[in-house]
Amino acid sequence: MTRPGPPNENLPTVKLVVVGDGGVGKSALTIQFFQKLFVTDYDPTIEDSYIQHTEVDGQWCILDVLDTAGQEEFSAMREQYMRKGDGFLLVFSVADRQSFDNVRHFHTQILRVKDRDTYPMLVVGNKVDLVGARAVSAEQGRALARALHAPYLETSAKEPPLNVDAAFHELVRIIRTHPQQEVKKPRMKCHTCSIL
Amino acid sequence: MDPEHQPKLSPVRAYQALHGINQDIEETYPSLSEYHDYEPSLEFDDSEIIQSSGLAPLPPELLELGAELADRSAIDGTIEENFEEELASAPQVYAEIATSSADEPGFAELSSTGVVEVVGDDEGGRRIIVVSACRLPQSKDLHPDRLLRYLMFTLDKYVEQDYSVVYFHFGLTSKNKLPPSWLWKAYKAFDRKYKKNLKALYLVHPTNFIRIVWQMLRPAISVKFGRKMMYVNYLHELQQHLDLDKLCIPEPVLQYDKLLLSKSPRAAEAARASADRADEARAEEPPAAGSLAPPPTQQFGVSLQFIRENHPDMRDSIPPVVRDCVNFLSAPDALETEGIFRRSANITVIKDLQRRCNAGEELDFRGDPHAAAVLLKTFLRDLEEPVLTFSLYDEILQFQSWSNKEKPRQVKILILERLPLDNYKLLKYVIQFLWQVQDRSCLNKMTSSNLAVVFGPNLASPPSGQMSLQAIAPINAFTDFLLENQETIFII
Repeated sequence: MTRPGPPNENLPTVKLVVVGDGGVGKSALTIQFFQKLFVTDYDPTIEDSYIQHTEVDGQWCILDVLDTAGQEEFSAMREQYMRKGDGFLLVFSVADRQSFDNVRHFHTQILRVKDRDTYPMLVVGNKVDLVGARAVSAEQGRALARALHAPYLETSAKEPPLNVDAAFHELVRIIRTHPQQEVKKPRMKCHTCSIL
Repeated sequence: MDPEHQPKLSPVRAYQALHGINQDIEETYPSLSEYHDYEPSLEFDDSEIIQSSGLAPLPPELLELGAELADRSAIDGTIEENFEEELASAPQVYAEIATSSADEPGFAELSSTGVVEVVGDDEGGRRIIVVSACRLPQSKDLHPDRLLRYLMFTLDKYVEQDYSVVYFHFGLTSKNKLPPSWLWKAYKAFDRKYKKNLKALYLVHPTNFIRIVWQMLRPAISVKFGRKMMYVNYLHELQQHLDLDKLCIPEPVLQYDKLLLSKSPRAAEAARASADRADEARAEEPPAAGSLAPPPTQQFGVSLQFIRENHPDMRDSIPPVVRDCVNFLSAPDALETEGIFRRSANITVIKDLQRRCNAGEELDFRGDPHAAAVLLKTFLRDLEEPVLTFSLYDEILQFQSWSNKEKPRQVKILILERLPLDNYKLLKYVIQFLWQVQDRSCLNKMTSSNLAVVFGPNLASPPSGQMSLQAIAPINAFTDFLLENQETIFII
């Protein structure tokens, strides 16, 4: 099998940011995606960045993924990375109802920082391997995603991983197809009228 | 599997290394702007003045000279002619700018440079808009009109209310400078609505050149607007009006200010005095001054002193809410909850608990240890001054530079000698409780280093409240050290 490697010319960089409550498995997803292994250690993340050439639908890009802290005490840093992200994985744990409820807050904050009505995002229900501990059903996940106008995927970072690559690739697709839109409330024209 | 497809992992703790700082201005292009024909035929070459005035602060004599020079130019009549020309064409110019903006694509490339940033509120609750010249893209990459549109576009969102503008002049080079005519154009383009609500325009680190330009424009600028403009020679002067920490001042500007201070001992003296005053003001400031005085039952967002004064039955300087949380969490079930203090709680539940607590009502955690844990962290984070105080903050950041041998002594000095008694008691109480938590780490998985990560930022933070990524490592290391050595540190 010989596939062409990543071309050397300037590839577009896609900045993805993984957000969600503390302990929902943001780092586990990210590390499973980049390193193909399931981390079992229990270290809260402050902020980690990963870069890799990735091919999605035959198009190469540089995937720059920021794994973030879920705790409120790090919320001061949120605006910074929210401003820079091209797309966001909104992760919750299907075994943690509260993390599901808080997805909305992340969604709202991203739109506020971006000053947009919509932005490339993907709602991710993680830890679906914990069947017995499930507190959020797939239907509830889908309903929330629909309400936020984002697609929904259920994932598991634990071996064998489920939908991990799919989640990151899907977000890249969303970013690629997301219409470049004007920022909310373009009111320049009105001023023109009022002045002239 | 071919090896080149192996994913390459490169975790980078420093976020900045990857994402930040494209602000360096490259110096590779010829100095004349492409828009040279926009420049009015001034009798002196402005680029020369920029160069000659250089980075040095302007001595007062020279300043007056500059003003004089400008006055004389005005008398010559040449400058005034220029204004008339400009004035006559101004309405068309504006129409051009405004109409072409309708079909303009987003300003992504401009907004990513951070030239214009909106940074919260000043003392009067007004929006502050920061314009940093050092972040301006090179003139050749940017049409001046586009910048003007971007400015208007940004301001549009805020001009309905009062606002202030801070302009950092440093970093304007011949590569990214705008023709003086642009300033005039900008002044004309912003109609009354923008100017009316502009409460103050702070011009930081003005050079000779800008003072002269200002003087020249003076006759044409309304008196009212002129009064709103303030020169700020050093950053500490700005401190009197605004909270500097909120401004996200670009690094080159901070460096430049240091350079200026190092050249002028008197200004440096004043800067220190002003910094001290600011610290004092922060320490003494009554919680939420003015009409919105908190009710005596308030515990969130106030000072430890305030809580003590309003809770006479408080034991050992431990605020009631802290005791409630700790008591609830000390039950074995709660203590052994996996990810206690790491996991988040429902934001709405926390807000409700805060409200109840501030109103003096009983707290009901509804059996949720995460709610109690997050509430405890929120209380500490919301304190008017963090438990480890602002004055120890800078020293805590040095923690990792201390040798292992001197760490115990240094930490003890900070904690036992420098920390106010109320803070000491509360810190001791919290750390000793956290010791209980990590004692069950086999069940709750929260080792002392894990607890330090999620607790550090709640115990120490800068006066601005804006924690940088670099500050987190030393703060966490310090917190971890407190935890690991709590028995030998908290001996009083």
